[in-house]
Amino acid sequence: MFTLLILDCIDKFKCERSLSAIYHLLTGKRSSQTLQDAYSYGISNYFGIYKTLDRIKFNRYIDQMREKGLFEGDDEEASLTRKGIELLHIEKNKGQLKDFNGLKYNRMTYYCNQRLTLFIQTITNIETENYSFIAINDNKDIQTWVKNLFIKNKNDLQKWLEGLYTELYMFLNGLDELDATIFVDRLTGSKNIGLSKEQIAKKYNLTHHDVEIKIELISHKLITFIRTNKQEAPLLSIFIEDLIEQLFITDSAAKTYQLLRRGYDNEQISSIRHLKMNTIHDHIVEIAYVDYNFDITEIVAKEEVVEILRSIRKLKTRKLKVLKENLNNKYSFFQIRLVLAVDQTKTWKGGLD
Amino acid sequence: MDYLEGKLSRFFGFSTFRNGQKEIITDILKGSSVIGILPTGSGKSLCYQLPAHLLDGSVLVVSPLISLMIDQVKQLKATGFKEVIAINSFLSMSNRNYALTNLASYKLIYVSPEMLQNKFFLRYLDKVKVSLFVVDEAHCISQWGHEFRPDYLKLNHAINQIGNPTVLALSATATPEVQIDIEQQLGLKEVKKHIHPMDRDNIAFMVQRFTQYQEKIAYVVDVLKKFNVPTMIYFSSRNTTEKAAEELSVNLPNHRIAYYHGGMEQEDRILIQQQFMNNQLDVICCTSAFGMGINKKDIRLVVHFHLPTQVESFIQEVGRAGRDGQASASLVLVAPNDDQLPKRLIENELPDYQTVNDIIDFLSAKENDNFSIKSETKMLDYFNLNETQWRFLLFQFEKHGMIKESRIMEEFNDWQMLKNQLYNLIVTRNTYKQKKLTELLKWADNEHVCRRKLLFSSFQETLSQPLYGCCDVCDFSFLTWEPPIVERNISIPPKGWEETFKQLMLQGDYRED
Repeated sequence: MFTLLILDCIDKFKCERSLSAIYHLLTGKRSSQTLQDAYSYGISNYFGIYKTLDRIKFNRYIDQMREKGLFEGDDEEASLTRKGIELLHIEKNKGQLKDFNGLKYNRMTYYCNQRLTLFIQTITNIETENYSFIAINDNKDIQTWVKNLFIKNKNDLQKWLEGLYTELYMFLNGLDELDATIFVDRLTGSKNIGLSKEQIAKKYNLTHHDVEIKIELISHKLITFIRTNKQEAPLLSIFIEDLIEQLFITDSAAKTYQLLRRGYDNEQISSIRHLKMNTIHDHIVEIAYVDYNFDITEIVAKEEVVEILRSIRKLKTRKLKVLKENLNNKYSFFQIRLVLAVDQTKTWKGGLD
Repeated sequence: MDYLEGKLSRFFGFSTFRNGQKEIITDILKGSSVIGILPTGSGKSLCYQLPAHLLDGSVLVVSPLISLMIDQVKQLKATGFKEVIAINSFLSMSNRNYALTNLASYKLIYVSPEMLQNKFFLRYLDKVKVSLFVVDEAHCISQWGHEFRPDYLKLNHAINQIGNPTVLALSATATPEVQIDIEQQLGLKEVKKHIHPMDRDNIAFMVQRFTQYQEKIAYVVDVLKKFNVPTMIYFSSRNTTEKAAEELSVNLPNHRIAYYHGGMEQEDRILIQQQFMNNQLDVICCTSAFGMGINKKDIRLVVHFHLPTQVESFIQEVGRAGRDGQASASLVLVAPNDDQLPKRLIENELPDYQTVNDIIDFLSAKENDNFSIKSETKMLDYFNLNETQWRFLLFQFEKHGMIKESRIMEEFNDWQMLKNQLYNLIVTRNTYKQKKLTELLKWADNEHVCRRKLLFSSFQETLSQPLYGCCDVCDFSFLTWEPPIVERNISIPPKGWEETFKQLMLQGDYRED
């Protein structure tokens, strides 16, 4: 898996970026160069998905891949060999990495995972009347968050256990057998302490790198699951609610989102924040990409969305100007961009007629 | 039930004190300072945790190990004692600010010795009524001790500043010379001493000699095949820890084996430690990083695949076995050249003379370059020092009047004398430590004198009668060893994730009603 990931990066970089750039991308270096790489070469989904990757181990791995003849060239200009291309494109490897959403999720996964793990440890122990257990995570922020959630719900533990079980079961059922097993093995309950990454690697005969990536990928899938099934997974949603704001690429859009959620309209936000209306519109488009439950029909009526969607399908284009002209300039760029957003995120539930 | 027993039962749920606890607590409550030498696992921390409930004001505990402090705070909070805090650099800014401004509201405050030199912290501490000042692992104050920490030498000063509260100095291992050091360095007057014997009557000793590594592994495999009991195996390097854990796992498919060392990610460290506590692991291969604050009662066997650098550390590590009082054993494996690694460890603890020479030349040539004193990383890099070595030097520079409050004193000019003094000091200390190492190696080499007698002779005059065998020189052998074996379900049929998950979440048949 790690091999595939690196091959895919080399492939997409098209000899234009160095191997170090791959390292910076995977570890999520927040520099404008790395962010630009992520966008321009279409691999922003890999941004920050392997933060603990050690530079020396990365270099060693790269050298081994070169020795195996999977790519050629030096650190500045590497390209895949035939063998590398074949490996990347054989059927069973296809799609393995497509569920990463690095740029958006890389700061959420740790919190989401650890909150969930610690909460499950807490409620299963309390439910079995074990009041003195040692928390599996010693991060203060996470402990405080879990504690608050626990205090609010301590009289409802049965309901929570059952609810989380049902919601997570639904999620796990959609995964590969191995991924679901690994997810469950990592959990700590009242009788069993979860397995370390090292132990997972040994148990399933995986490399250390593959375990790291797999666990991260499962977390990305979990967050996507929660975001697309908010109705069916109300309890899990609580674990990421406040993290969603971190999804925004710009902090400014996050602020607009906060105000929007508190019930302010566009004009009010524009005046509160001393920002031009166009900027607010940019933010709202960003929000539509991020919040899968964001309702755009307050800005574009349902029939209008349908009309724009049809036009997108018919012309097979995402070019704003073309779309706008084809729709006889009836809609603003802002409205078209919003529809493009729900089209892209596949969250439009209103159909096409 | 008298007063103290009543409180003990109320706050900790125990009905009786363990050996030594009550006498120490009684003296403290009377306001006398105490030196308490109690063996590992005898409940040292209760000697200040109970007074924390009873005394007016706060109890301040100085502890050298952050992980140890955090573990204790966790355990106390788990038992419902909430007014405890460990002030350390791992606390987040906001948590730390909150804790500091509310410092007086805590009954029990754990701090690192470095913290007591922090002026800001001392200012906060000023507002707190410290009724008891506890020095945990007090042997760290002695330059002869196996874990000497220069910062401990400044505790005397801190005690004065706080207004000379009652002091409790605790240690599990302290030779008579170290005890005198503790008393003098802390400036204790009319101190009550409670020295308890360090030997444990339920631990038997065994030393085995081999010619090489593979033989050691084979021997451990044999022993563990016969006794699948909770076991710790100590190694002196991280690499060997991992390597041996792997080899043992291959040879002992029915044992659950893992390794633990300071180089692992924090998350995995907690998981492995908790698995061992929770009996999900049988054998843990570890470095000395593991075990501090470990409170597992039924460890039956402590193996030293490598020996530590002195008798005191060895006794401490062995003392993790058999805290439940049941039959336990210490097994030491010796091979030629085993002394090389500890020798190097000792040499690396202090800077060598050439380095000292270079640093003093550097500083004297740039007398006013105070920046270099403050920029620790720069000095570490430039002179290839480790942190302990640099701390040692800083302390010595201060002691000899070359620096004061992180500034080089302009009038200082005894550079050559400083060099000579440091040279002598380093030579003396290294010689002493090599002597300590030799002492331990000799102990292991001996084949004729009772091991127990030899091991404890410098700490105490009499030995208790061993309950389950003494040592391999006297009467002990694994052939006749009968440790309690806890039956466990070895072959749990592998369940799919669905069943495991249902069980974990207490659903269906696993529901708690």
